[in-house]
Amino acid sequence: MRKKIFFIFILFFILSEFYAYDFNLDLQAQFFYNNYIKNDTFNYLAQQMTLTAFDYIQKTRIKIKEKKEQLKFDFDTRLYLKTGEDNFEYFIDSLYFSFENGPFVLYAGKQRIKWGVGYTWNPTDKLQPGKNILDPKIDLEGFYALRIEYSNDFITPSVIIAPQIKSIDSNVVENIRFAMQLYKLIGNADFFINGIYQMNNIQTIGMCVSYDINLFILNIESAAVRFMEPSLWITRMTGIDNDGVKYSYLIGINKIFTSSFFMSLEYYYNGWGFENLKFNDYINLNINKVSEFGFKKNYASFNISYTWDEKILTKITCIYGIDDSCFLFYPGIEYIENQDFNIELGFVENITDKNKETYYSMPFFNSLVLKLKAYF
Amino acid sequence: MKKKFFILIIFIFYISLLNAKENKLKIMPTPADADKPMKKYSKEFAKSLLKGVDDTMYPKIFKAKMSMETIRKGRAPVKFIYEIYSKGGNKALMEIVYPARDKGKKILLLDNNLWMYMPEVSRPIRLSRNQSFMGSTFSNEDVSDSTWEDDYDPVITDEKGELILLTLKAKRKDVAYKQIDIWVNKESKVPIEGIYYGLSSKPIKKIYFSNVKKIAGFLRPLDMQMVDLLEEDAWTDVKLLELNELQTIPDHKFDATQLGR
Repeated sequence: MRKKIFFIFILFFILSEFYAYDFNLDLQAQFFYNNYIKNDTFNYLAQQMTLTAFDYIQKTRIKIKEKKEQLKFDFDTRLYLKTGEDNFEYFIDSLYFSFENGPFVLYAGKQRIKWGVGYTWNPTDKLQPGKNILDPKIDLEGFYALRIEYSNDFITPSVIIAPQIKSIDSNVVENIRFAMQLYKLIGNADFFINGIYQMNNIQTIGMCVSYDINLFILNIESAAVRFMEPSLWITRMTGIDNDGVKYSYLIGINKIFTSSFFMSLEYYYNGWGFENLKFNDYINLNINKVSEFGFKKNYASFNISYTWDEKILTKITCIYGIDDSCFLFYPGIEYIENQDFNIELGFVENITDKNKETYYSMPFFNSLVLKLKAYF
Repeated sequence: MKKKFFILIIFIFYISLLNAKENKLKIMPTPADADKPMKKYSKEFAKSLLKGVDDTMYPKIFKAKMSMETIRKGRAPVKFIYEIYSKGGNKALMEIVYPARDKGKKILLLDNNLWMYMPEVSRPIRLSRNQSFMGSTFSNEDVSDSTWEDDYDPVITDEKGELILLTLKAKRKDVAYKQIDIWVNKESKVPIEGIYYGLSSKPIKKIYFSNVKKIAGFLRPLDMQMVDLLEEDAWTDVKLLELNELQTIPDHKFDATQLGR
């Protein structure tokens, strides 16, 4: 497997020289030191994988792009080589082609289609797999879809048809997720209205606004979501909630004071989140607990980053669970040797009281992260 | 409780460090002189001269490749190369082609709106327009708005041989500078150097134009240097590597939702 992957790298690299397509390679050596909580979640995870205090992961990202008149090809993949393993684990974030004809464009294949204006959370986005709340900009995996967009001065519509394979006795429509987003620029504000429909599965309708009010950018996002398919959300799966409509929203501000200073503050209300009491029911059910942060209703996030003298990037990310006072704190520092080589050191601390529910859904006290990043 | 207290201390320390850094930059510059128009030149002539300056800077519709290197005292130089599409002075799309780390990022300016697109995030992110551009001494408006004619009223306030001093006063409050003083060659209409004044009437930046060559029918300065007057030894060198005048650029190129194309 390793030889094959190595051969593919070399092949892409040589071909990129001959055919002049756009080939990029990012390499990261990542080291983690994890301090686990030996709780139910840890026990569950330990059944699924080997948990070690020290982990080493080699992450490789390959991006290939080629554009030939109206046709464009895009390939973006992540390969992980983990401690003690010979085989790569891989994620294909995007693999699609697009065809343009004036204002029309058609995308076909696995692609990222990110909805919403929130930095940490996006209540309107039920298409794309969830993002890493501690670093929302990285590692977004796409999904298979056909997408058609028509750009014009009035409203830009985007129509999405995504296959969602169900059981053999389901009809054709039940296997397809339909989605649509409309975009309009009014003055200094972006307006989006979007919705998703899949028979007996999910229905959503959402709106987003991103508005430049000089002092900062104001982002508002809200969605009405109905999970008909129980496996889509934990409270449906456990029978705690029925398939009614619930409302979620986000309000946030962000500001880039200079290009080296970024700040974001957000509040997120998750209508499908657990009430404190109901969460205890969930704990008692003792079903598959996974390492997730965000089961409850009210959350806030704060992000700040500053680059000192183009050499040192410092950042702090905080996620606070208002319902049970759980708190994730993630300070990090990145040394920028040059524009193609960085070293990042981060420390994630889970500051959640032992008598609080979220404590039981998180498997670690803290984690030390060291990343060496090279860009080619 | 101890942990929370510890986090609070780190926050306070971090914020106070940032404040200390920002305060260092607050150097008081000298106030701008009162500018009086020269009576021998009409307002119409000043307007035609400014139009000539805009024409020599860039064509109305163009595609260009530009390198931008920012030097700051005690810091590593930061270099970007952009591919630029511009239409009519109020629409500009810039894509980073160098360095590898930022390749594929795009910046879109449409009238008073500004967005950044990152391929990893795959959606446009709205930015405030009045901030510096990618760590350079240029503001976003300097880079993405290619004409002064729409935003500033010109008057001629001085003359030295072939050179004329055009004083540009902001027409609106939402532009990046209150005033720009620019020395222009009367014959070729090529700008030589200029001073930018902030909203408080303080001079904040100085620009030098050089390497004048005839491209797309006009003599044009291909190199620029923007010096930050508020920060010691800080400047940005801009070199126009390619410039092609185009007949048209389709409007969908400047649609915020179409930046992933």
